[in-house]
Amino acid sequence: MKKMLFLAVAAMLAFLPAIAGAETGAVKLPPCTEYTLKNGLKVFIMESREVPLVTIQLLVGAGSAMDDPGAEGIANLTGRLLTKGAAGLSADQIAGAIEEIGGVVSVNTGRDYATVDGDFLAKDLARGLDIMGKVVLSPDFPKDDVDREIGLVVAEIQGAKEQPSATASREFVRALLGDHPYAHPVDGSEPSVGAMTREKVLDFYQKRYVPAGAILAVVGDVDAAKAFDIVKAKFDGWKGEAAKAAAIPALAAKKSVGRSLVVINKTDATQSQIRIGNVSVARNTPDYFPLLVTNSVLGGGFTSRLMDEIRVNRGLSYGARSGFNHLKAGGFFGVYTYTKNKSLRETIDVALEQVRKIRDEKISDTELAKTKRYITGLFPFDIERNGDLAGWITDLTYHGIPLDFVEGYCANVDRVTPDDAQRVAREQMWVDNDLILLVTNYDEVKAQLGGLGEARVIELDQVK
Amino acid sequence: MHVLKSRAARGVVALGLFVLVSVPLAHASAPSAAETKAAPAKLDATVETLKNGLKVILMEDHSVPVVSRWTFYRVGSENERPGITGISHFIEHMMFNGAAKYGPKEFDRILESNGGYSNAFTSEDMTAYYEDFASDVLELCIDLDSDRMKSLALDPKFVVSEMGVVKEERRLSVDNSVEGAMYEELGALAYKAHPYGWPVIGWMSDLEKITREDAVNYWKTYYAPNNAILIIVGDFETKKALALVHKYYDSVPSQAPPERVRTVEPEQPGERRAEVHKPAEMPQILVGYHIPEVTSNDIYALDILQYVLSEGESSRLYKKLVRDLGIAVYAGANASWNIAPALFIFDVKARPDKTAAECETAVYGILADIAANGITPAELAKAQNQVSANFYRSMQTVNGKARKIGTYEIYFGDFNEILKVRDRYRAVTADDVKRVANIYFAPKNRSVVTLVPEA
Repeated sequence: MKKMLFLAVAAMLAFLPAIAGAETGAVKLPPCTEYTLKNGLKVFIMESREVPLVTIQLLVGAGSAMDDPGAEGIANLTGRLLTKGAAGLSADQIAGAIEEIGGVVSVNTGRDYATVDGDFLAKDLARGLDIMGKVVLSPDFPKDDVDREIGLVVAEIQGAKEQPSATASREFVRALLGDHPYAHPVDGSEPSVGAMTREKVLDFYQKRYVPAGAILAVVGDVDAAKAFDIVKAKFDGWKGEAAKAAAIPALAAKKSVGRSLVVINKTDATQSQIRIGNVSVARNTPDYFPLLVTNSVLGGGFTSRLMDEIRVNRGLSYGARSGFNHLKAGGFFGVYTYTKNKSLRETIDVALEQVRKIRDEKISDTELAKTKRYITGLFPFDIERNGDLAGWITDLTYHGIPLDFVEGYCANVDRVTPDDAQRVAREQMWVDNDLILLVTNYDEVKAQLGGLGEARVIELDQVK
Repeated sequence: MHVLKSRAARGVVALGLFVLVSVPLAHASAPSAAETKAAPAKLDATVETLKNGLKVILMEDHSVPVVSRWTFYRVGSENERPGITGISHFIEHMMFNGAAKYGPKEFDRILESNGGYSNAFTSEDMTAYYEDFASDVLELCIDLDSDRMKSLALDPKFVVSEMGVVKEERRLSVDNSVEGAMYEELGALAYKAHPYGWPVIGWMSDLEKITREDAVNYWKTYYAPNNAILIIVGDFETKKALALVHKYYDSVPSQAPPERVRTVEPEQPGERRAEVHKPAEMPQILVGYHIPEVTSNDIYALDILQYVLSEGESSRLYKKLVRDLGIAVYAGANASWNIAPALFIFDVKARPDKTAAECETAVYGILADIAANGITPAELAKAQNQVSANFYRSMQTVNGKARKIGTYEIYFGDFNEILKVRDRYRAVTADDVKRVANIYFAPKNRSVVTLVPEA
C-alpha cells in the first residue's frame, strides 16, 4: 500500500513541469451585454457563435419555497401548466409550434426559483422568444389541462417511490428540514397536489410570475442588439410586482442536534440507500470556495476519500459522494451512498469515519493541491455549452453575485488553504449532530443499527 | 432539484439492455428543410492508422482550452458467452485498476490531480473510454491510456473488490429497479439465439463465478490496437499530438483479429409475452419489435418514425396516451442502433388506476393507423427539423464530437458517415415511413413484457 502511494506521487511529480506553465483562472466568458426593461426584467445577451443554436433561459422567483401553506407543489404545478395553453393556443398548438422548428421548451421548478428554458436553431430566435413570451405572460390554465396535470403529478409522486435512490433523497431533505419551506419535495405530496384547483394555480401565477426580480439570458449565435430588440418587443408588456410574502426564514435554526435515525422500510430491497447530513449555509456564504474544495476532498471525483474507502478499497458500493446544496436562505450537506443490505453498517461506519477524519486532521498540502487542480482543470467544461452559460448568468444574478465570479473561479479555488479547509469542515461537516436516513429492508438490517439511536421507521406506503 | 447529486459513475451506461449507447438520433444528423448553412463534404480531421492497426482520428477545436480523448474497442456483451456474461463491462472497470507502468489507483489519482476527468461505458457492441482535461496534459493522458492497452495488470486483489463494485451496480440498476428488471426480461424474451439477449451488466450468477483467468483471456483477445480506435478532439496541434500518439502507442503489439459474432437471430414466428411481478406503484409495459442492423437503409425511416411517435409533446404517443386518453404517465419509443438486428422498443407507464392492457391497445392503434395511413407531411418536416437541431446540440462539446466520431466508426467503419447520414435522413419520404411501419410492426414480430405490481 505504501509503495503504491509513493509511486503515484512520483508519477504525478514527473508531470509537474508540464502543468507549471498552465494559467489557472484563464477562463474567459464570451462578450455579454446587460439591459434592464422598465418593468424590472433584467436581460443578458451573450454572443457565443460556435454552433447555430441559441439558448433562452428565464428565471422567475417562483420556487417551491414560495408554495402557499397546505399547497405544497403549487409552484411546480404552475410551471408545468405554462405550456399547456397560452394566449388562446392549446397545449397541442404550443407543442407543435415549438417542435416543428426543432425547438425544445421546458419549465423547471426548484426550491428558490423556476426557470423557463428554451433551445432553438439560432435563426428561429424570434419565433422562440414569441412562444416563450406567450407562455410566460399569457398562460390560460385551461381547466381540463389543470386536472390532467394534477393527475400526472400525483402519479409521478407515487411512481418515484419505486426508486429507492429518489425516495432517499426526497425524504432526507424532508426529515432534515421539518416544517421549513425548503423541506417538502418540489413537486409536493399526493394529498397536497390532489387538492389543487385552477383558482389556486391562477392565484400563484399572478403573485409570483412577475418581471420584477426576473432574469432573462439569451446565449448563442445571435447579434446582441438585434436579439435585445426582439426581447423588448415580447417582454416589455409584462407587468407586476411580486406579492408580499414572508421572507424565507433562515435554515440555521433547523440544524439537527444529536443524532437522529430515520428508516424508510422497503421490504423487497436487497440494497440499502444511505444519506447522512445536516443543515448548512446559504449560497452567499463567504466560505463558498473552502467548502467546495473541502467537499471535493471528501466526496468529489473518483479519488475522493469516500470513493477510495467505500468503493475502491472495499468494493462496498458503486458510488459514494458528498455535497453541499446552497440555497438563498441556507443549505444542507449530505453524504450519499448505497450498499447491499449485509454491509450496511460497515458502509455507514466507513463514511462517518471519513467525515470525522476531515474534521480532526488537517488536509495535507499535496492532497489539497491535487484537489484544487482537479476542480480548476475541469471548470472550462462547465462553460462549454450555451445552456451552461445561461445557467451561470441567471443563477449568479439571482444570488446577487457578479458574473466575473466565473472568471475568478479558479483563482479563488487556488486560494483555499489547509487551515481554511479544516475550519469549514469543523463548522459544516457534522458527525455526531446529524441525520441518518436509510431506505432499506428494516427487518433484515435492524440488528446492524445498534448504537445509532432509536430508529423512526416509516413504511414506504406511508410516504406521500 | 435533488439534495445530493449522483454524478454519473463509471460504467453507468450499462443500466439496462438497450438504454446503452443506442440513443440513435442524439448521435445522428439530418438537415432541416430550412437549413441554410451548406454542409461540408468532409469533417476536418486527420486520420492515420499505425503499423499495429490502431486507427487514429484527430480533430482540432480551439473554442475552449480543453481536450477530449477517447479509445473505442470493438468489444461488448455480444462477444461473451453463457458463464462469462458481464465480462466486457467488468474489464471496463478493471481498466482503471492498474497496468505495468501505472499501478492500481494511479490512473485516477494522476489524472484527477492534473485536472482531468475520466469515465467509460460498455454496450452490446462497444466499450469506450474517455478523459476530458485541460489542453496541457494531453501527453499524460496518452501515456496512461497506452499503458493499460499494452499491459493491463488485472491485479487479483482488485479483481475481487471491483467485482463487488459491479455487483452493487447490478443491484442498483437491475435488481432494485423496476425499469431495469423489465428491460432485462425483454432482452431474454426477444432473443432466442443472438447474444443481445443477455444483459450487458451480466447475470448475477456469472458475476459470482468469473475468474481472473477468464478476464486475462478476454482482455488479451479484444484489447488490441487493431481492435481499437483512438480519437482526440479539442485544443491541440495535430502534428504534435500525432508525434505523441506514435511515441506511446507504436509499441503496443497487435493481436490476431478476434472472431466476430456468427449467430443471426432467426425470424420470430409469433408474439412472445412475459410478466414481471414486483412491488410497484403502477402497471407498465415494454413492447419490442425486431428491426434491422444500423447499416440497413430502413434505419433512417425508423428513426423518423421514432421522432413522430415520441419526441416531445406534439408526438403521437404523448398526445394519445397521456393527453387524449389520459391512461399513461409516460409513453416513449426508441429505435436501437446496433451492429446486428436489434429492437424498436415502446415503453409505457400507465396511470395507477389504468391497466397495462389499455396502454397496449392504444399503442397498437397508433401503429395500425400509421401502417394504414402513413404520417403527414408536417410530421415528416418536424421530425427532420428535430433531428437537425439535435445534431447541433450533440456537437456543442469536444466530448460530444469525439463520442460521435467513435460511435460512427464502430457502426459504419468510417466517421465521415456522420455527414452522409444527413442526406439519408433528408431522403426519407412519408411513404418510406409507412412501408417500414408495415414491415416491422407486425404482431408476430413483437415481444411484450408486462409489469404486474405487487403490494
